[in-house]
Amino acid sequence: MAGYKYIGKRIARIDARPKVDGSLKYPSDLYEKGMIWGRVLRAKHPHARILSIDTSAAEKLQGVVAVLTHKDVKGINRFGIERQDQPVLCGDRVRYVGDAVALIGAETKEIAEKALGLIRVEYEPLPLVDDPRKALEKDCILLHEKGNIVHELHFTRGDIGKGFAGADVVVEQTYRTQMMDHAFLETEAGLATVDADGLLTVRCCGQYAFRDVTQIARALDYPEDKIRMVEPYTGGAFGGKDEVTVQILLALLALKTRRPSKIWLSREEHFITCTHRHPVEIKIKTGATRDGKLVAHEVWALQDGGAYASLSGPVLCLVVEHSCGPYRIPNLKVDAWAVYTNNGMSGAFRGFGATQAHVAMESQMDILAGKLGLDPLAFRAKNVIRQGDVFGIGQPMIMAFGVDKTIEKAMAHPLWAERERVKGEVDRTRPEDRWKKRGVGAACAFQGSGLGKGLPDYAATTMELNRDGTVTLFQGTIEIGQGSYTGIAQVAAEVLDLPLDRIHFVGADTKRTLDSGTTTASRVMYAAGQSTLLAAKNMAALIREAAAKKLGVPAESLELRDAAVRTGDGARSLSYEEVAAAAGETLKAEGIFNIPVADREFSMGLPHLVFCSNTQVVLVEVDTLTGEIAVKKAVAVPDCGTVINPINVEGQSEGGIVMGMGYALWEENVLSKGQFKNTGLSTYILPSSWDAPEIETIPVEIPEESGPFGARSIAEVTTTPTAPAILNAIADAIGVRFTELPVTPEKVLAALDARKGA
Amino acid sequence: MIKVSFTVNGRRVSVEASPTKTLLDLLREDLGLTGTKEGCGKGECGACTVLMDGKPVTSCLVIAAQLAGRRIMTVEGLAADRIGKALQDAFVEAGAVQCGYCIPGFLMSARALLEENPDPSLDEIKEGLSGNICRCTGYVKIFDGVALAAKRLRV
Repeated sequence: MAGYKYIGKRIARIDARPKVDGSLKYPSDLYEKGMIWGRVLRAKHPHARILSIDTSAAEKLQGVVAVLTHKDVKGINRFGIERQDQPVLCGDRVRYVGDAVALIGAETKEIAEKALGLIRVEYEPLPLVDDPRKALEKDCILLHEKGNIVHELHFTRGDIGKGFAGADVVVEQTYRTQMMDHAFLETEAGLATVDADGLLTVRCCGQYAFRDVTQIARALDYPEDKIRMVEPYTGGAFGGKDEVTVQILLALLALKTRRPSKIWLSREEHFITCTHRHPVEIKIKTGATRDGKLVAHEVWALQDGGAYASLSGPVLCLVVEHSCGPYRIPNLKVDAWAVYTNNGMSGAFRGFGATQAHVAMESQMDILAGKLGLDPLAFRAKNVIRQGDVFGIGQPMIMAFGVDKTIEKAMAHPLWAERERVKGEVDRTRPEDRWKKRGVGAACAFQGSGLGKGLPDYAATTMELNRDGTVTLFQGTIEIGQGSYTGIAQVAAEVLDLPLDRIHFVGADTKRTLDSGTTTASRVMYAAGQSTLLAAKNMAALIREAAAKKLGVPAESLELRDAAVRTGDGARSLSYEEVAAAAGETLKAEGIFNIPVADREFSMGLPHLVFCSNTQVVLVEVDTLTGEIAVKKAVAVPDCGTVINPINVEGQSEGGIVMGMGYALWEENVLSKGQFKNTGLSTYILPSSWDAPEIETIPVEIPEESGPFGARSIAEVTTTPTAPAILNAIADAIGVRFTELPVTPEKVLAALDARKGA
Repeated sequence: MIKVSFTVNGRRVSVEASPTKTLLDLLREDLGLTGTKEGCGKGECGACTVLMDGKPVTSCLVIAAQLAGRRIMTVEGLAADRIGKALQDAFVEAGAVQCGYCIPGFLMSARALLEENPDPSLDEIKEGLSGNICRCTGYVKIFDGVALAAKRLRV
């Protein structure tokens, strides 16, 4: 960006050095003298009544410090972000295999492990609900008192009948997306301590330290003011650390034993207990006119939420909000349900329902374009929402929005514009390439930023000028890998003209930072960036005032330049160190930003006002002999407003694309009768270095006035278009339209065989 | 319990431990070197990669009984190593680090790769890092980091 010193620059992350030299302490790196290890007894039964729990043998084992059950929990013994229906420790019934039944604290992890095996729990199996359709049947056993429906949404706009009557082409299709695991590299971990005054400090992984305080206080009936959560850094999250994981168990163990307590889930335990990406079945019918205008759209969606609510309701809302894609469709009908089953847990995961919705919608767009004989991206461009248009569920797009620009730029890229040439470039001289077929596919996506209507959605930053002229910046959001601490620091650096190494960053700590909302929903760079901008401007004013007094000049005549405050002519100046001394008291500034919200509410969190978008083009190679699919190249054109740091935007984009490849091609938590079948990284297949394609990220920057220097956010929309773009590219390569993820080699071969047979 | 002596980052250490205690746990719990990470405990993710006598190993699969007289290098030892330092600097500059939890393992694999092959092709880099999983970066900037370090080390 022209005229800026820090904004838009390829600046190295402020947390990179301590991460490459091994000195940064992640939650799992915390050990303390006198510490005990906590281990959790999991239900293993997907649905059963608990008849009895006998902990006597475990208690007698030498080295066991505590064996805790539901009887030891004083508070409501329940948690959940949206509603509290998940037991901390189950007493009478278990609803999925990962349910926690008992908690051991022991001197070593080996003893804790051994003690787990000594607890005797008697179960009486209950009827299994392992199919979301079954959950909706009238005679199905109720998994929760209020029924099996977590949330449902029914929505109409325009006249769906008339809409379809006016359509020349109608495409009707059912899509099925699978359960997916966040598979962050650091499994859930933390350490809790209690001091002599009863202050409970939990240093752990998470995505919202302040809500964790509330969840612990509520579940354990412990005063909120005596709880301190410290969660600045964690080894990846992607939504999977949004809901409570180990926090309440850590607190319980430390409060009961008064010993420093460590819990660190095994990889297998992670796979079983994690709040996965929801499997969703989407039946969808879309109509368009001959000249390529979308006229009607009908959606039926059924989302498997698993055993407890967590964020299933809000995820369903985003399925609905994004079910029309970023397009103008005047006539719409949506019916959607999220239900309870005994299939593990699902919840927040990068994309948050928009991912599943776009798999369906962006496939529809390509099928329709094919039937209409239109270029798939040109067809999208014809229907796309521009700023001022009304989108899917009837909300006008009033904020900056540039999906049209992302499509334009993607269409001009050689991978799209010259795709026939690119597809012809297979080297057929190599024997292993003889069976390969290439295809190019594209998809668009949009994604709401922030929590939407009806939920508190703000960010707050404080800062202090230190005696040595450095600034300490206090920010309550969490660095989960996205790079937002660096982006936020860049915003402060730009306003104060202060180098990044003179800004000390204090991240999420509920006794030091202000509540700045969740680290989710593509909101942090936008909201916490803006609250930081406001705080920095307030700090700049304080610095000017203090300097003005000292220099005897009007504050308005002073400007901040090169870590000093100077008179306009530059003749007189004070360094920030001198300002700090002149001010006497510590200068402290605060900035608070509320994310703008719509006037009316459709359902919880709907609609959003602020959106990011992204168009991706991918080149795939399908091996028709083995069924394997490789992504050779990907081009992403995101619109996230002003790019604060190109390295971080590219990094998000590249990571989002490779994660989307995993979703499209390999990853699936396989369940059978409520049991997880692949609970290790050799059976749950993640993309590896060999799978990473060449990736180009070319942002279009449509500035959003309300964001810091025009920035919005980027996190989720990087992964949302990837899977449908791959599905479209596969169809282009071999003429087979897959509607169920992941597209494994077995499915490819079966489809090719079926076609040969036919 | 056995007593076993080996070197870690050039320093001689002696620990008393169960013969089946993993090198990973010895490093983290007995020696306080928490830079080496655990991602799976089964040798599948590569986060715990260290160098044993110069070769990359997943330290969760090496046990105390195998350690007598061995030379171990961990991420904490990279700054004092020519190739290691170049890799750390290049990873920082190239944007190879996001959440960073997998990075110590990648750095150790890359250290072994560049010692054996100072001028690796992109495919050779991919092969050299194929035992390490990263969930954040999509690998692209990690490849860039290795290539950048290799380029600088060759001049």
